[in-house]
Amino acid sequence: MTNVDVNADVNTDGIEEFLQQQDKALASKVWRGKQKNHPAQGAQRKVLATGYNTLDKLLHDGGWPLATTTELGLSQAGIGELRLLTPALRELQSNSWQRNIIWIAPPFLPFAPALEKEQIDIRQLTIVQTNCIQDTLWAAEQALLAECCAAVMTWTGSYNLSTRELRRLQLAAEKTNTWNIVLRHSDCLQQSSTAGLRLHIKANSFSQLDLHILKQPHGWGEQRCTLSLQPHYENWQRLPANLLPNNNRIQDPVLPEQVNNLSNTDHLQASVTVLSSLAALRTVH
Amino acid sequence: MAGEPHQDDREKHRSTKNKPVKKKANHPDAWLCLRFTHLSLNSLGHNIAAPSPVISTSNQQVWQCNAHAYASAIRPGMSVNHALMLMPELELLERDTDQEAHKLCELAYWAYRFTSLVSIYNDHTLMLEVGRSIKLFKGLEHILNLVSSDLDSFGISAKPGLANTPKAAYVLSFSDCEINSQRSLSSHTFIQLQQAKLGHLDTDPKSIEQLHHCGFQTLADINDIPDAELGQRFGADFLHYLDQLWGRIADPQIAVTPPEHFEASVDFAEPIRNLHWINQQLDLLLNDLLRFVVQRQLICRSFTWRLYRENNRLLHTITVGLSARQNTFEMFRELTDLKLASVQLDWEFSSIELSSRQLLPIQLFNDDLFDPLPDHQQFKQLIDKLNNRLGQTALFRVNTAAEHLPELINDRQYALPETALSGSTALSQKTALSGSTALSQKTALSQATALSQATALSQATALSRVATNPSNKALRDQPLWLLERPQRLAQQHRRPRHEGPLRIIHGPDRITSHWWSKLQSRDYFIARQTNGRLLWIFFDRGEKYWYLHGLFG
Repeated sequence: MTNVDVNADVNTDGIEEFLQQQDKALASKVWRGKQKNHPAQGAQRKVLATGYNTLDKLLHDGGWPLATTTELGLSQAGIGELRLLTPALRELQSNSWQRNIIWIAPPFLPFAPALEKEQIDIRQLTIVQTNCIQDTLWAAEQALLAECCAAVMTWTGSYNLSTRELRRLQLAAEKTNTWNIVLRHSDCLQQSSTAGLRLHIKANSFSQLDLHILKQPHGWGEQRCTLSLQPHYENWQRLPANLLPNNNRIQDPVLPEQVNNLSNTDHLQASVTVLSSLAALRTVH
Repeated sequence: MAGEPHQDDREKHRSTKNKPVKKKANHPDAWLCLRFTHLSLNSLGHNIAAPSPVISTSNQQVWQCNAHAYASAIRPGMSVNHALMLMPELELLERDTDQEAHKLCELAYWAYRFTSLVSIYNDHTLMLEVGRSIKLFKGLEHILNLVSSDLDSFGISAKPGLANTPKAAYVLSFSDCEINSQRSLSSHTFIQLQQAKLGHLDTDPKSIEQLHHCGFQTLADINDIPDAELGQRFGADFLHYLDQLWGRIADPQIAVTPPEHFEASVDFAEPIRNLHWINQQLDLLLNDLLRFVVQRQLICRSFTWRLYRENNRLLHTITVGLSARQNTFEMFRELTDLKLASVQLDWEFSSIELSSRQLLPIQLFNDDLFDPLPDHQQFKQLIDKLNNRLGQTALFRVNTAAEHLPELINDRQYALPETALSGSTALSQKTALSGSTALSQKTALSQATALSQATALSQATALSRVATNPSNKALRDQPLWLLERPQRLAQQHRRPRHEGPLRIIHGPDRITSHWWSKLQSRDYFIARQTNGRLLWIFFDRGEKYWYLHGLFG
């Protein structure tokens, strides 16, 4: 490790000199492995706390790097990708001048009450539905270039983005200091990418999230961690014991016929709303 | 006789035979007459300073000629043959009175930017009441400069006249004297009017002829004659005219108001197949629209392009929507290009029309001093761009509605320009929504009844929501993803399956609603798939089926 560092230092200095001779604008655009040590660029760097201490520690910048592309690879939509990002989005909306968040081509509808509960300002959240991948990418680029969005989240599904397309998004994000999040199918992660941060996320059988950092700015990648997201699975109330077979050891689904044995006709009664009072249900651990 | 120029206006008018010019205390009427001397040539698209000789003809007589032709001794009124003899290379144009009227109307709309009272005095003259605009434009001289520089840029020749009454202004437009706005208007015009030739009065030509026969040449000559004598000889109409000229009785003018809607079109000599060929015309039309909008202090919310085939049959309609609070040419152009890019023309067209009916009074806005939103304008522009390419329903926001069923709580609000405007349109969109997304076929609620009932009950439900909300929030975990429509799950031994067996880890939460039309009674559960994904499923108690409704994304 130390060897590598020394080599990198030597190399970087050479490149540095060369680039300084050429052009200053060029010098800022060429990627260098040891940019971490560059004070001028470090000062400009914007980072957003992830809301998860474990993850913050693993990231060299100490949070989500803004003004670059964050690429999330997931095998399936709905495994916890939103819950992973919501603390950061909340933070972004409360501290940034620009509060608009744009979701482009999300696979499902965002559920407003749940977002409100996460304290995300849904008035500043705009959803864009597109018909084809070209429209999706065009909309993403326009949103990034518009200099009025705090974050742009784009779902490209299993479409294999070309290097050129990724590069265009990356440049647009850099130009306007916008947090660009691209959510793709995890198979696409095998392809190389210009994104600053690449993450592979996967749900495990305990409904926790396994994170695998493939690449991150200002240092090496290949870190792994496991996050348990809010709301914790363990915290959820279980069904009353008498309704479950085998005393809750194996949680089989319970059919409502069993639940409503006593009054099978009560749902026909005229009432505005009846919410079963969960507090009345016994908690089983 | 006539007061000295340096004397006070009022005093001077008292001295002139009790004929005071009507004057108001705060803003004296000041009428600017613009007499378009070569309107016929100008309306046919010819500048009078053009290097080649051009005349317009009417009944085989020269009607108007440009400066070059005039220099070759061609005069209005001579026969066309005579003119051609003098100058064989002369270009002849038939006078078109419709074009002239159209041009005059256009000029009246242009003049509207200087004053709210513009009137068409006769077929080649505009009358502008500029007295009330002096303060706004910081001086009469400035207005006159603006008017003359604008007219120069249009290539239109006009003679100005400035006086306290419209008729006096018209008469003065014939005098060659420069308008001197530095001096007091009344004293200045009075002297000029005294010297004005009687032939320039726009009254009955017969009485003017009679006056000439009597040896009168200027207005000063008839000023000395008592009214009674004048009336006896030249008729009451002439007296009335003089009274209006001197401002002793009111001379109402009919104000021209620019239209509420914008419409302009361009006809092409040849059929056009490629939209790129007409970029310049598009620019011109958009500039016209922008000028119109600025002039009327309106804001354009949408404009429509219509392409017509040669027999005036509509070929294509393109509507561009806007939501930004400021209209700029670049924005117009960019959005037009976005829309045109997707247009497939299957026929050539020969004319294009631009119209806008969605014009609203401009709304000035205040930004918070301590919490400014600098990105607001840019964001609106972005929304416009996306809307125009992706369609009006591609962009939306979600909001919570006072409802019980999750698909109804999740209220879509489209980012249409109209929604920001009026509550009524917003509501109508809401009804359209509940039809398309919220209630799937299986709920089979009739839209109308559901909505009317819902509004009727809104108070009651809102109350009950307030009552239940705190406990709801504390207890209920809801997913971040909602399926557009509940998806029916496979069942095995009456147990739900979704990509394998499901484990229910929380529930039930019961939601009962719509008892007034078709009862919806659902038990919501949180279930876990084998791969760890958490689902929000419900059991429809009426239908006895399991549905997937959300994902804990």
